[in-house]
Amino acid sequence: MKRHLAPPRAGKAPRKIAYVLKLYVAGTAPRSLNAIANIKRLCEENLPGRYALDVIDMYQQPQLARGEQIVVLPTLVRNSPSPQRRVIGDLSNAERVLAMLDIGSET
Amino acid sequence: VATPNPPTFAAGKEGPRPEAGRVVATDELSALVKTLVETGQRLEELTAGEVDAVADPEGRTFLLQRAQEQLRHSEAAKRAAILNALPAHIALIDTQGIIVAVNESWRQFGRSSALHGPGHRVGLNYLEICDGAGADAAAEARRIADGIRSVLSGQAKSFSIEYACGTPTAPLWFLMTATPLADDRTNGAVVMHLDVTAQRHTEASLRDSESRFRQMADNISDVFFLREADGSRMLYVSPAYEKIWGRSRESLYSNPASWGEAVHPEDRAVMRERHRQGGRTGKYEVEFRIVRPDGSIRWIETKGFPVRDDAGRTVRIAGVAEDITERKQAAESERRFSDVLANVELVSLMLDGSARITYCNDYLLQLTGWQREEVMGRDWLEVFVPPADITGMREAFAALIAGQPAARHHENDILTRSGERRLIRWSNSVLRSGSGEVIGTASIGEDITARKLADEVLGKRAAELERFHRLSVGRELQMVELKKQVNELARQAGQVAPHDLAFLEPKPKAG
Repeated sequence: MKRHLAPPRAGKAPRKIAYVLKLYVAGTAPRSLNAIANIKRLCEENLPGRYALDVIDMYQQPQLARGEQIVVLPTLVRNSPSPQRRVIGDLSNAERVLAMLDIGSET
Repeated sequence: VATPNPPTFAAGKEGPRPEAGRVVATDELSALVKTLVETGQRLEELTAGEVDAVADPEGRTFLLQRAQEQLRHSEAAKRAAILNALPAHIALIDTQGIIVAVNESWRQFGRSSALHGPGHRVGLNYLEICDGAGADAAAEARRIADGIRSVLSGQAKSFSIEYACGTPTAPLWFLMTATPLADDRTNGAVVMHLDVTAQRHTEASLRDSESRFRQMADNISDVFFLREADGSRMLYVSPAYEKIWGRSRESLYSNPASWGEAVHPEDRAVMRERHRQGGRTGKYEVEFRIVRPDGSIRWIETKGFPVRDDAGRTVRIAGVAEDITERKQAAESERRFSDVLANVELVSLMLDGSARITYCNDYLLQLTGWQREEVMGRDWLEVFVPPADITGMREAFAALIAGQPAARHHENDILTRSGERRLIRWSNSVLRSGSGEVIGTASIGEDITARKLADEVLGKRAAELERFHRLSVGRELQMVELKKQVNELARQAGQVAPHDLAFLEPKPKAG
């Protein structure tokens, strides 16, 4: 599992990490790779310093998905803020992803 | 995915017994495959083609068919990209020599080569191409074909050859290798042509520079050498060694210690000491004598320089040894000459163009009672010449500087510190600069005071003797005259002459 934490910005007090995201992927399959690239970009652009993103490869760490009801890959899960929300697919439609995660309105 | 591996399926622990299972499995397999395909299609529909895989609650993941195909293509594309990025021209051939696959470099190489080129596409038989190569490359092509055949037949583990192609003025060099494509038995070979023209040029230029070095080393009279820092091995010594040391280079290579054994016994200690110092700093300079096999002795000057490895350790010593015997002898003769000047009882004196003293020897100082520092740089005439003579001597000095031969020899008095006179007989010459300009004079003087005195005493004595002689001779002549007169008177008186004066008469010649 790789955790991506945005480095604190100089000159500003670090803000509370508001968004805790997990992305479940299937190795280097094409949509999985796209999903990783897309969510990293979206987070950096919209939630700088305010998110924690874990990428979980189901081939390497299937145990991390137990009880999480991961049925398809890639799946993005928003654990915080609650309630939990899910987006499936390669996350290439930025508007839809931001809307589903309820991110766009805050920035 | 569509066809599971039958043997594995049949050998499953919980599966039916092989013989019975084979019949049962066919029906079951058909049913399962049908389900699998339908399941796959339904999953694609449900996920709208947006996902790669599905997972069960245990986290077991099943890659969907489309993702599988994409993944397979992308893996193949990566391998192809690697192969295509290689500078080598690579072809895969089967056991018959038919080209199965080629990389981009192979495809792109458009130069006219019989052995690999744009025409040699997939599907052609590479061995036949080599066999049918034109006369320009026939020999190499045959060797290549033979080499590939030996690899394909399993006789050789690999085969490689370097060959030239391209134009004669700008030849290209290739390294061709054939390696078997094998698991248990050979099922083809990878044929690779790599352009090694640049390496060839580098090697050639290295060979050139080595040959230039050898020409220089062979023709120069100094000895170059390169040895291990610990002295264990002589790596190179130039031919001049044989001439100077009078020993063969082979003898030095086979016995590096003979370098030290040739050193004169008296110089071995200083030699060892310098080498020890050199071991620390790497750099050393030492002069020593060697004894040649014929017993003759040569003076050698050696300069050593460190050759360091990447870690800065001195691993080798490079050096130059020069035969300085003649230089040494010249220095020795100069030293003896100056010893002579310093020790003989002759005045040695050098003056600059204004008659200021630039050099004098100890003898002049002993003779006159001056200290060297009292007279150096002072006007010779003012310090040493009696005041009455100064004008005359200045003219003589000017004449000498002007190069008049008559001024080369003269005698004159000089004054000691206490005012005594010494008479010196001088031999003078002029000193010239490198450009021929007169810059001063050099003189050798002999103190002839004592001899002159002796001469004068002798002269006086001689004069007295002369006067005495003249007196005594005059008296004798008067006596003879008187005797003659007495004899004459006696003869006239008829008497016998009393004085025998016959000795005055000329003697009659003996008959």
